[in-house]
Amino acid sequence: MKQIHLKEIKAISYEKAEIKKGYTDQSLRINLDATDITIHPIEEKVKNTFIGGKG
Amino acid sequence: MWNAVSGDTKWNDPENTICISSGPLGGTPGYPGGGKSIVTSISPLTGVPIDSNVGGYFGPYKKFSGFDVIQVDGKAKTDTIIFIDGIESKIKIFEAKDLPTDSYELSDVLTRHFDEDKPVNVSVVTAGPGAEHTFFGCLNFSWWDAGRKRVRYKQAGRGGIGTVFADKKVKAIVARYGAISMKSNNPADLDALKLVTKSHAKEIKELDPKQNRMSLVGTTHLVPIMNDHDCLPVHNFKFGSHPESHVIGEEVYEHIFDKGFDGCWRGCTVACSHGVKDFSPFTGPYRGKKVFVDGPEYETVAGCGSSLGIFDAHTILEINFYCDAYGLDTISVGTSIAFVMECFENNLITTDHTDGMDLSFGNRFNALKIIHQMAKGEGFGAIVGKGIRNMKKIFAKDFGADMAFMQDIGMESKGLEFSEYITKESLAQQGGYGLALKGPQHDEAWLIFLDMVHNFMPTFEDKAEALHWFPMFRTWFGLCGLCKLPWNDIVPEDNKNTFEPAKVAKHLGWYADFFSAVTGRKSGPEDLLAMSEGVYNFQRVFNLKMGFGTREHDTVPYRAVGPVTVEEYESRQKRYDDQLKEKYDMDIREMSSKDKVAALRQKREEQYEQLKDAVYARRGWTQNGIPTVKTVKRLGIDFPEVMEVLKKNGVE
Repeated sequence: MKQIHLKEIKAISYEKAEIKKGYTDQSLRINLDATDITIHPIEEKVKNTFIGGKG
Repeated sequence: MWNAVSGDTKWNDPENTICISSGPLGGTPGYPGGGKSIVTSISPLTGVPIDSNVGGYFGPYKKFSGFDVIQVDGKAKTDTIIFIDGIESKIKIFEAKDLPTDSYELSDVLTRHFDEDKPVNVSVVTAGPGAEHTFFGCLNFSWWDAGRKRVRYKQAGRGGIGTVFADKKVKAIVARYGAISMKSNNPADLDALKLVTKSHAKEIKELDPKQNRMSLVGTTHLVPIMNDHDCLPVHNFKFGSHPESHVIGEEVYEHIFDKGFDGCWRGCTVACSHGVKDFSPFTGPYRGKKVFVDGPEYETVAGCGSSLGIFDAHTILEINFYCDAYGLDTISVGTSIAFVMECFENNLITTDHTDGMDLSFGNRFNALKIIHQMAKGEGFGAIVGKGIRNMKKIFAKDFGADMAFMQDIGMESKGLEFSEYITKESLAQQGGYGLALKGPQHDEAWLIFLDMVHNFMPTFEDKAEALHWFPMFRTWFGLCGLCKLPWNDIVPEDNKNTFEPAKVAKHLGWYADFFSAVTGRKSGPEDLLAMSEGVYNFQRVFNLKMGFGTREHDTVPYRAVGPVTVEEYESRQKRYDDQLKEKYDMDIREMSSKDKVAALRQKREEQYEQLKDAVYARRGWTQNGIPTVKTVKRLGIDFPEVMEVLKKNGVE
């Protein structure tokens, strides 16, 4: 198999959200400019308006 | 995405975002089509949001790892891999070196790298070299095929999201997760979920063999049907049937497809993701090697086969293989090359412009050569890879080609290449394409079957109503993380006797039960439409925000509406003559074919504009195609930012 080289440049541990009725109520954002990983809550109103959303 | 981008954002600006979402129902094992993802971004082809619905395990793995949606923005400086590890609860970003360049090998290498012992735990999203060098790059979403012990993939094909991915220097996004069951979504009512899952799965298992046989032939069953109804694109949508079509349809692929379970989601009974093993390409970097080809589906057969005049199942497989490996959308590739071939045959472009290639219809070697050029960003293929809208400008400016003729035959709308249905005799499908938010892709409004094959919408009002209901409802599947095929491709045996057969009432009931069982929001069939109508209108306003989203953009080339040339007219002369005489009450005895082409064109273009009027009214939009204040209020999307965009466009 081809040898690949991966160098870790950012890592976070997170507490996995419990899934409730099909939703985790969390979104994950990866910003490549700052090599940043952030987790955001999804509001109830957004969920009710957009269901699963398209993005 | 609305918050991430401004009205001035271009596809390759850092703030452009790729979002992957899998909805509340996505990830239900055993529910037919219950594991889809929807991917969105600002498209390089259209400048507005594109959405692409795709199978594979990534969406569910990402959700069960803790995220309803993942958003990737900014641009990396070096090749990057993002790893979401739902087993270890870690997210990592890697700089990557020495990766395979194509998606075929990269998906395999990364799957094994991230879980060598249990590759089934890994799903990989990748693009490829074609995505780097064209505007219609696709994304491959993988899953591990336990039966064949190999990586398979499906494509988020449309609109160039793979191009955005490659531009951000993302080589792959990898998700890893462990065992999945019906409990994984933690449904509100597990027993109700089990019941509805079992009912729908059982019906598909019983009826698919009697109806479409998709578990054996995938969507290639559509080739003979479309050919019989004069709807199969032949020679860049000039004609709708061809005597050789039987060598590229289900009759052939049934015998070529490798036997075994082919669901792109666990336990799906439609299981239509067929493939061909031990295929040996005769061109390109895999020449003479044995590879597995994922596909082809109907769209690839029609776009890269009949529309190019290539009636050869082997060549279609080879085009399919390289498009996937290079990260290219087979629909845009096929429709773009078909346009080029018609330009070539009409001397709008010559061998002086095509690196010496003869690009007459049927020239399979040179069609493949263009695709290999696209992967390298070289030669004439680099121009074709910019898509039809850009090619028209280049051919006119640099090669002196006739722009008016190219506008008529270039099968794009809003900048996106048409998917593969001839719409000349289906006004409903002309609207289905022209009024689609993202451009002419059938997943938003696939009415041709209902209109032409079943004749479910005979009147003008029926068509306008259908162009309200169907795009709204089809949106619902993407929002929930589902595939649409189990809804209306396989229907209950007594469906034709129901009040509105096109809507498949029994299945609507099941989808309402499915939604209620998982989310706990008690819903009936009538509630489903309201869920997606808000999102649909929001996306229309998003188009408006990006400088589009009005009536003038809902146009289609005349090739989609009627015969552009005398050759086309005369190929179906009796049909068109009868229409002029009977439908439009014209005396055609003294008219030349050229006169008749012009007369028919005038009538059909008027009809299309009238359809727009009717559909806008039905959707609660102004006659300029903008949702009214009343509509956005009714749908609960009257956010201040939305009202501001409407106001800017004169809607208060």
